[in-house]
Amino acid sequence: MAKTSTDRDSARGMDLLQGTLDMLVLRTLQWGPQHGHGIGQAIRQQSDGLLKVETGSLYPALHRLEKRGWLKSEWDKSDANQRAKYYRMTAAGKAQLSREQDRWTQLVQAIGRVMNPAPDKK
Amino acid sequence: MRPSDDDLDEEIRAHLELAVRERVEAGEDERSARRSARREFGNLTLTRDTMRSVWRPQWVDGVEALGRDLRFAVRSLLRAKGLAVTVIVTLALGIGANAAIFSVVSGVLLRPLVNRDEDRIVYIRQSGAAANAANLTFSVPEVSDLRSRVKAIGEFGEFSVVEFTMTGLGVEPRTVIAGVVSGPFFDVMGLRPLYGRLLDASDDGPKAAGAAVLTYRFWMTALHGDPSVVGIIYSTIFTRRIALPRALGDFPAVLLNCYTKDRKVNAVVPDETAGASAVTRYLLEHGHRRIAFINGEPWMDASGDRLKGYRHVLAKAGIAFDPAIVRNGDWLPLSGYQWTSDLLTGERPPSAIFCANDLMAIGALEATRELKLRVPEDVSVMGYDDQELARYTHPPLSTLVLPNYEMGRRAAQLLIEITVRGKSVSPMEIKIHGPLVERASVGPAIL
Repeated sequence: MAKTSTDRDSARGMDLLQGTLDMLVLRTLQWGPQHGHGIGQAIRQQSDGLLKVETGSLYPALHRLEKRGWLKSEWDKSDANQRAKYYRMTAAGKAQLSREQDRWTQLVQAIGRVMNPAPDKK
Repeated sequence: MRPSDDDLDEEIRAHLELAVRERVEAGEDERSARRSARREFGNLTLTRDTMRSVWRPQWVDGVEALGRDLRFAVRSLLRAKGLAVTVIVTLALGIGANAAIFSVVSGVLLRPLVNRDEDRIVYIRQSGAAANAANLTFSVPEVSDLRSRVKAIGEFGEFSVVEFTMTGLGVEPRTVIAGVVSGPFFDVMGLRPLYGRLLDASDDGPKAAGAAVLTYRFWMTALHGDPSVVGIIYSTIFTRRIALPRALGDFPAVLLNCYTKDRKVNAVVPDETAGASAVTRYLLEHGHRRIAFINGEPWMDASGDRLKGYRHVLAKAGIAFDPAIVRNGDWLPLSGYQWTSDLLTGERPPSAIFCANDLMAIGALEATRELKLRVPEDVSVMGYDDQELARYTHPPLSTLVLPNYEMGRRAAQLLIEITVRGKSVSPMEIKIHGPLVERASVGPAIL
């Protein structure tokens, strides 16, 4: 469901693998509470502009994560004194992040083995 | 906690404000920043609805969608009142159906309906908001429910789309998009064939032979509009007896890799008995007297005939048939591996193992390696089929060619003789056997 679009002035950019958005959101919130806009920007910056999460995917994802008990939300004022809804990771969210991270590492390794098999491996 | 609708709106508004502010700070003027932020956000309503639906129990979506569908169905039926024949076409476009497929459907399937009473045809589809799908495939039980319960409808024609790869037309294999239809479909749609016949109820059911109707476009582009189909080669994947498909009609036909019970149709089949005889004889020539045979599944023609060849040659050489060293595998490497381990660790192990296909022979080679036995010094292994991978095993596998190419060539030759050259041929079964390929997995028996 998660879709990304390419940065307009860059030819680069790629689609987000299905099921990875939740993990990216949780990972971003590891550094502390953040509002939806900030989460989107953080993912974009961390990926050097390659991943741009569409709001249409991001906000439903935040609510889904909150419903599952992995996030908690709270209205607060931003640094610039603007009202915004801040999301914070719960303990269950931390456990989920570590599960997803393991799964992701395994997936990357497995795909890597298929795509770049070591020669003459017995 | 479940947020209120106001809360959702507020969150979206806050997002837009943050985005605007960021742009203004980067030097954009406020009006254009507001426009860009709004454009970047995309569909506000859709996003809010999706956010809201996250919090809703899933059955609510189902009920809402069902309500919509019922209203639609009732309206459609009212509009078509007095209908004697109403037709339902289910379109299984599946998730991810796109405009391109849809335009094919409307162009190819729906436009020809000008020939028929369009207002008596209803197109039924189902959506599932919970599954986020606008057009869900109907399952077979769902279709039979509709068929048995909806009395206002005279006949149902089902339609779904499947993609497959077609080879043998020109040089390149190509992807063909096909519709899968139920027997009454063409009748329901009021379509008539330009040439040949359409499908009907007798083409339904598990026992029906496969049949296809080509679109005019496919016939013109892929077959160059050639109406002179002079004959048909009908082929099966594995060797078996068949009932002659009705679709062959009166066309001259040559059966390839299959045959009819009465043997009244020309057929080209592999000579399995001769093949297995050649393999067994070859092993005998290398001094082997105790030759195990790992066969395929016993119900298959190929297995029965190969066993016949093996037994026949042993009998001629005066060697008693020993059922203890004949096993039925399933054509896959694992069964070759298991039976070989079993045979070689049992009492009176064989000096040679004949596997009824190369895959099981590969399993056999693996088993010998594990038992620290050398091939062919300690035990000989023989395959069957000569698949390409037989060349790359260690040691390379000696095997017998399953003459697929030669069979195809002979079938084509026979068909051309009958149809193009007008030769009259009394029905015959041509059995073809392939040569033995000596590689390095068979050696002299240890005495």
